[in-house]
Amino acid sequence: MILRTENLTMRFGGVTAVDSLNLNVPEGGVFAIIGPNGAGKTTAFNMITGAYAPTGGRIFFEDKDITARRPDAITKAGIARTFQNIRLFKDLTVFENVITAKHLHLKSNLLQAVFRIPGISPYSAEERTFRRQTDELLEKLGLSDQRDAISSSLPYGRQRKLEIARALATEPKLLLLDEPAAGMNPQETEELARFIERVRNEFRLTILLIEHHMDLVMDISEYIYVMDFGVNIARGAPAEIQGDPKVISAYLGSGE
Amino acid sequence: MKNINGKTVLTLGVIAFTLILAFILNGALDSYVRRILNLCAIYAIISLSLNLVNGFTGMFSLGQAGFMAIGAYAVAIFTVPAELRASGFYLEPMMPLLANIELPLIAALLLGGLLAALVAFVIGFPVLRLRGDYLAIATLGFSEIIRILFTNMQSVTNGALGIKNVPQLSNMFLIYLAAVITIALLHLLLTSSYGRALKAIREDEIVAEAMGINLLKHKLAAFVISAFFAGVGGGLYGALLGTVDPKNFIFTLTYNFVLIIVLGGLGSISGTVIASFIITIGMEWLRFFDEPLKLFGIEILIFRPGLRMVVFSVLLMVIVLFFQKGIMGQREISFDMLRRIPLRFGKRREDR
Ligand SMILES: Nc1ncnc2c1ncn2[C@@H]1O[C@H](COP(=O)(O)OP(=O)(O)OP(=O)(O)O)[C@@H](O)[C@H]1O
Ligand SMILES: [Mg+2]
Repeated sequence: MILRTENLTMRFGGVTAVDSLNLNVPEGGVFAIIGPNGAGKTTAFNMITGAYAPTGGRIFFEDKDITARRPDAITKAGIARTFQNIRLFKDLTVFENVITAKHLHLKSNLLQAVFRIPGISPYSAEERTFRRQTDELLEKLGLSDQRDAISSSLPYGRQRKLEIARALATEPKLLLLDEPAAGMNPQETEELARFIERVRNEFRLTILLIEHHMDLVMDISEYIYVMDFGVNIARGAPAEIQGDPKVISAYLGSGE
Repeated sequence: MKNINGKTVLTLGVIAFTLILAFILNGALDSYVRRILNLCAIYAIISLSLNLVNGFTGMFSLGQAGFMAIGAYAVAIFTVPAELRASGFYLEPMMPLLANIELPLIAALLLGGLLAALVAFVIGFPVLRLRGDYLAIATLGFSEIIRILFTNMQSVTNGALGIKNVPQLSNMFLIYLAAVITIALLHLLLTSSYGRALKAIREDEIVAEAMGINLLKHKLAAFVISAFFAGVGGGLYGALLGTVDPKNFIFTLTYNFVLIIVLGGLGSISGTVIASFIITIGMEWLRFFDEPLKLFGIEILIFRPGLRMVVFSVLLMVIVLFFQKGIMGQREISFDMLRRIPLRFGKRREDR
């Protein structure tokens, strides 16, 4: 299991946003969390990535307990994420957005980075590697043609892609995508599905995604967790989930 | 590669030109003008230090006057010739431990910078853990506390009497050299991976942290480095004045630097340098606001000490309201940019 949660719980005052969630995510593959608005999906991500400290339960990443560790430490351990509402560094270029996420791999200390004396400081060599890796990543994901564009000037779909590129630059083992297809039309969603599969294969990582687009979820995920009002009401392969009456009623119930 | 070398040569050329100019002007200018130009360079150093925190890292510090005071007192305490100290410290003699230690100016400047950095670490470590803008309050409090402390440490600082006879520094070459070194080091820092991390924190803390950047470590580094340069700048300021007393470091001094970085552009080194000159020279020029003025034999009542500050506050508000980005925004003057200027004008015309 690359990721496991045990009775993961988050209470905000009187609201239990996530109630005793037990995830078991094996390595490799694409997994999904679905559920109506306010079901607690993003809150679960926030706990896994350290943005929120859970009020109960534990989180294990590669069998190490990472519960309530700092977000940067969790990213260093190998979990990267994207955000439901795209959060790029808006004033920075595409290239800068991605290379910033390389910083956690820097070994040179601050003095070595400032006094970049060739032969003494390893900094310049590291910087060259970062730049090369960033350009390779942009090339691979098809973003090179807008390398020096300010990120906020990109079309919406490409901003989503860039956010994924930035997360990949941290070299994660587990990638969490929060509604990557939000706001996309069916054709873009279809492209995104292929893109996510490609990313999974080329970077050999595990993907856990939150999504409302059912076709996308059914298409690419091998296992699905369904949440409603913080509770995990169903889990299983896409075919099982599709016919599950509890799932259908959760979605219908929230449709009013 | 060739391009980089060309740029390096050009950069070194500009630096050499600045220093040679400073050297020549040092001999050519009268002491009043020289003093103002020296003040410009010192203000540039301190404003850059503030911009590192407020402009590049997106925090909000108001502690520069306090860090300057630490640097200025380090210079004042250790560079006054030992034999001249007793006459100044007549209320209470100087602490025997310090009374005989004399340091060369450079050593005293570095000591001041390091002490300021140490204090910044002590303040920053608890405060920067907290989410939210507690730094402004903490640094404002600190800069007042340090002033009151210095007013009361009679045997170290000579209290409210201040320390006179500080060997005066008026050498433009040395002061401009310090400014050039500050600019170079900050430029190297900000163009490094660490600089990118600081800018990421400014843009979005939550994302920066999710990208693996340790917020506390990086904010603290920026704050401590900032304090170091403010300390050195304060030391130069003390040496320029020749007299260091607590009244020099009232927290309103910090407003000058806030004004400079807002005018120059939060997040721009070149903008800060340009604004340092504009504000410092402007402040000198606006002195007449503080003096009584008679028009047609009638005394204009608002012309009295303090009006200059009012004018400056209004200026600050105008900038904030109408020119949020200041002169440079987050951009820098670079050789590439200078080369593009003719092109740009051409393009604008096409746009119309
Ligand atoms: N920081 C917070 N403080 C208080 N309540 C919160 C906070 N974050 C989330 N909640 C509440 O927790 C519940 C779950 O929210 P969450 O954002 O996890 O839902 P979601 O499943 O991601 O929904 P959506 O599909 O709309 O994104 C909601 O009732 C929300 O109002
Ligand atoms: Mg959500």
